[in-house]
Amino acid sequence: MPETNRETYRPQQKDTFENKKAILEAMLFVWEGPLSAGRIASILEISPEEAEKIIEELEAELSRTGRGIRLYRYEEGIQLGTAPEAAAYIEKMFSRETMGSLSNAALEALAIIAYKQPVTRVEIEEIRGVKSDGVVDNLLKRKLIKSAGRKETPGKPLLYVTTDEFLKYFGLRNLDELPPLPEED
Amino acid sequence: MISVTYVVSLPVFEGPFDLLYHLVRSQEIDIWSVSVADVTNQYLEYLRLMEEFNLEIASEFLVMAATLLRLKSRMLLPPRENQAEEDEADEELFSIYSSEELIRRILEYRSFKEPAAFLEKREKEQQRIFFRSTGGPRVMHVTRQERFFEQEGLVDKLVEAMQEQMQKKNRREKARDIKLVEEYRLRDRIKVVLGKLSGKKNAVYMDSLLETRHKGEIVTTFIAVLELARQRKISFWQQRNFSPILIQLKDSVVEEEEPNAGD
Repeated sequence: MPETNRETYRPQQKDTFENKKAILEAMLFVWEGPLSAGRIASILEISPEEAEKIIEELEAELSRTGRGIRLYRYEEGIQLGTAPEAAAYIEKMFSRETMGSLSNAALEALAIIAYKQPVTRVEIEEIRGVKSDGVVDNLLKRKLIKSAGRKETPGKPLLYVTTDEFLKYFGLRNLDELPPLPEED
Repeated sequence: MISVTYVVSLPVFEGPFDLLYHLVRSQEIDIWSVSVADVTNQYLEYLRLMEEFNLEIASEFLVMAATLLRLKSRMLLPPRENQAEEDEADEELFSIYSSEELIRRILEYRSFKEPAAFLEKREKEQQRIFFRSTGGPRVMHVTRQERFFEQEGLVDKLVEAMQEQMQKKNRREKARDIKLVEEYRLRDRIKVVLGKLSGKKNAVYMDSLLETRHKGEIVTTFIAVLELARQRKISFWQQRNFSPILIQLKDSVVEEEEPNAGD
């Protein structure tokens, strides 16, 4: 009976921890894109600390072997995604190869921008020793970098910074997760 | 010297600093005590090899060669009075005037190699993770004309759809001559496409428009679709990643009877 089905999830009924974990899993299943811990807490009507505990629990449960989906953490929130081990088959299912990877030149420029931001195109070129307009345009188009104001020097060149998409693309929670620049002398 | 009895494969360098690092490192001495003269000679030797292999030498490599030669000659000659002016005249070259500066620039470039490799590794890992795409249909409306061709790799997708149809065609009829293009005039095809789209409340599949008997017709229909998109008379939709492309007439066009097609 459909009416009674609804009854089962009446909010006044006290949800157990396990129950909330299941609800969170269901929420992440239908949600497209990352869901923030704050949002989760307010929907589940629990404290942020409780929400974090439930997230951790679900994360641990999913990363145990034998599961096809994992919980991934990003700056803006958490998201369910496929287990990397399944990649070959998922690609086969979509009958596609993985989307175009970045060129060495693009990775090099991106590394410079990530560490030196905000940085101008000329500054990137000085370090690389090569013209980089094409590379910078490509990174802009892929939304991995964006312009953020202009430098107060002659010509007022644009300054570039990395985007949230950059973090997401490389699976980083924030810029601190980048390895330290090697010091060499 | 390298003997010519075996094949030498030249490593590929991202730029002059990349090559210089390789040369400096191969000397196996403290990087700061590297001789500019030696490095310059090796650098020029490498460019000569590239030439011999008929490899295209990017202009930056030549600019660096000139920079190194200037640096080398300057270290041999006593400083001159109008040096600053001369430097300004050479602004096309790298602003490297001492061996310390050269090493510093090489090391600075080099310090980003590891982070770049780190990013590459992370990219590979991330590309093995797929995310669910639930939400609404991914709208590929043509909002601003100049953005049209950038929109979500739209043209690639359209070309793919066309190629798929062409391949099916190829399998069915092996070698039939492509009829004269005039037979499928663009203007007529635009009318046909509009005819198929008008009066339909729902979007139709791109593939269904291309299901025709002749290659020439497929091509002309495809161009007609592009032309209509350019005129912003139709919208494209895709329900989710990799799903078929849907086409719909824009609301504003529905009433129009005889659209003015370009020729």
